[in-house]
Amino acid sequence: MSDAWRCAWRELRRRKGRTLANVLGYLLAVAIAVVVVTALRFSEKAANQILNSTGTHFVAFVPAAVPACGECSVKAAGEKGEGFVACGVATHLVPVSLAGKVGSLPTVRDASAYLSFRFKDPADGHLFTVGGFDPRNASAVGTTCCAATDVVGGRFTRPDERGVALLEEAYAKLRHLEPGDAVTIAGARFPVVGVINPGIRPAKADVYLPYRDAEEAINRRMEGTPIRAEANVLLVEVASSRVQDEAIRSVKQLHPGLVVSSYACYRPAAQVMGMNEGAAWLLTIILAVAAVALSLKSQLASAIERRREIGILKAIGWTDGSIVSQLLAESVLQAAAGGVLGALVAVAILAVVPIKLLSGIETPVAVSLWPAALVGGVLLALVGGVIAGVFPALHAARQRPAEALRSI
Amino acid sequence: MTTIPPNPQATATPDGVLLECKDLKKTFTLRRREIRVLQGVNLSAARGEIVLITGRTGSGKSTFLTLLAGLDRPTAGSVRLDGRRMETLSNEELTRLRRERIGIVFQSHNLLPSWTAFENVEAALLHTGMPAAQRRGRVEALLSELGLGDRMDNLPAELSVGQQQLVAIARALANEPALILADEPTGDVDPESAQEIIRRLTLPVKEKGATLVIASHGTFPVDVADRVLCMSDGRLVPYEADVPLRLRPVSRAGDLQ
Repeated sequence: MSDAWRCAWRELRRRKGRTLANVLGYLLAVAIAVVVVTALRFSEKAANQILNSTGTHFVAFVPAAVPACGECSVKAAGEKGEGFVACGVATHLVPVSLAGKVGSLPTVRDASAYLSFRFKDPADGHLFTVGGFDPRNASAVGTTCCAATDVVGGRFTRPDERGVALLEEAYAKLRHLEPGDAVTIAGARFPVVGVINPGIRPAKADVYLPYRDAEEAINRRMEGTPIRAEANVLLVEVASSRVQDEAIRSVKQLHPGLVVSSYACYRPAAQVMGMNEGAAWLLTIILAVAAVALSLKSQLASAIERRREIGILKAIGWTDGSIVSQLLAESVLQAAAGGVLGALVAVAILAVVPIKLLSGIETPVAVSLWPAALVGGVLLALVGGVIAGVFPALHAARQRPAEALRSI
Repeated sequence: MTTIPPNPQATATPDGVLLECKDLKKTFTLRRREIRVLQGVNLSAARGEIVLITGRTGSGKSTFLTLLAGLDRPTAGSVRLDGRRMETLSNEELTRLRRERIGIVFQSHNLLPSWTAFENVEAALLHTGMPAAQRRGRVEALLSELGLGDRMDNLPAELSVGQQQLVAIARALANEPALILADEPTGDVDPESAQEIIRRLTLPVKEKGATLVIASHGTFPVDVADRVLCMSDGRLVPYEADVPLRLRPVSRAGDLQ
């Protein structure tokens, strides 16, 4: 251990009261900052989780009204009234590969190709919509189309299952169908394994089939070229509610004809969440600044109190650099001790205090400690220690020894 | 203005003059009033010489030593140590000069109250680059020689005034200085302790040719010194043993101290 650190340690031990006060200041600042940041992340995750179920997703498609471009194609069904539809309008087809491109955008968590086709029942002429989805995809499909949690009767389609159908609850009631019955679509018979109520979802359909089954059924009704590796809807799950607008812009840039259907309810919620988050960060910054300011005041007071001692040290040959090193080492040691202890106290608080319960937020999201907050808290304390130490140290070192020695 | 020459015996040492100050002046401004403490002090001291400066309290003796130590800057005049003009040195260079060449015994000991006797003495060696083991050995030897071998771990407040003065002397001698400046070194101690202090302060002069400048208002025996001078009215004048100190004029520095 260098002389500066050794002397600093000795000084801190001998000035226990002041040392404890300074360490306590850092401890409280770091502990509160870590707890606030952890609670903030929990709140953000919980809010995201809620927003995800209401609006951090959208569907994208190219309306048939848009002139067909190089990448999209117009394919028509043979029967009048049948065809590709999304959100009530006829659509073009786009390559399935576009879903991969959308999914790789940084603002997008997941994307999946989807077929939405309106059939006409040859028996009674009623129109119904078939949604062809990827049963292995629980993310984008789950939020925009249907999910296992939507089941109200029977069960959900298994990930690699083929040849089965799910019915939307209202449609099932209208047609007097239930799990165990079967539906015939384009000449193929599909046993009904479940009835679901997806609520308000942008890619809602009457009947849901596994993607390949839907593709085969549609192709049986197509005139001319069958569809191959094409879809008419992209289901998109956004990375976070705060980037939804940016994600929509990015997706639209990938294809000039794409239009997006989403719920705008995420906007005010995201704004409120942003305000809460901003307030929490502001609080954390104020805490950190207050801790540094208090420590700065304490260090300055200590340097002034020790003016005569510093004068003696200078008189016996301690250079300004030696004085600054010594006082800085004292400040950093206190900050390091306060920072580490504060992080430990924060861990203890988070282990003992039921933050989730106290917050009153009902969510499956758990309060989890963020290691970066702990490391950040300790680093913040160290930076504070340097800032709080360097100015009083420079102030103390600049004084002339004769003046300091006269100062009693 | 008279320059007081070094003691002829002392100048006979091979290294010659160690300390020289010319027309040294120091003025303080206190409450818009100028106080001229030193008004043209001249002194030359050789290696191995003991110079005793007497004078009444407030005559400027301590201020003079402060300037010799480079702890403060003169208003005018120059101080040379080992041929180096101290007024041309930066604060950092002055600090190094003190660390390497000067030992100071302050009037009020000026020990660090929260440091033990050992640590107070070691403080003078901490930033010299001396290895810790060697440092420890030197400090222990010094304190043991001064009869403080069993009080090394005591804080200054746990020592008697005389013992505190001995610790201050040990600290001043720790770096084996060429110039020792002592301000009232025997002022607060009993005759027995004073003898020990005198013996210890003069030892480096005899053994290593150090120069010792002592400021005392009358407690330090004049026969120990090679030369005795008197600070009077801000100037150094030859000491006249038959004139009591109380009858000598005092400078206006008396108002300050």
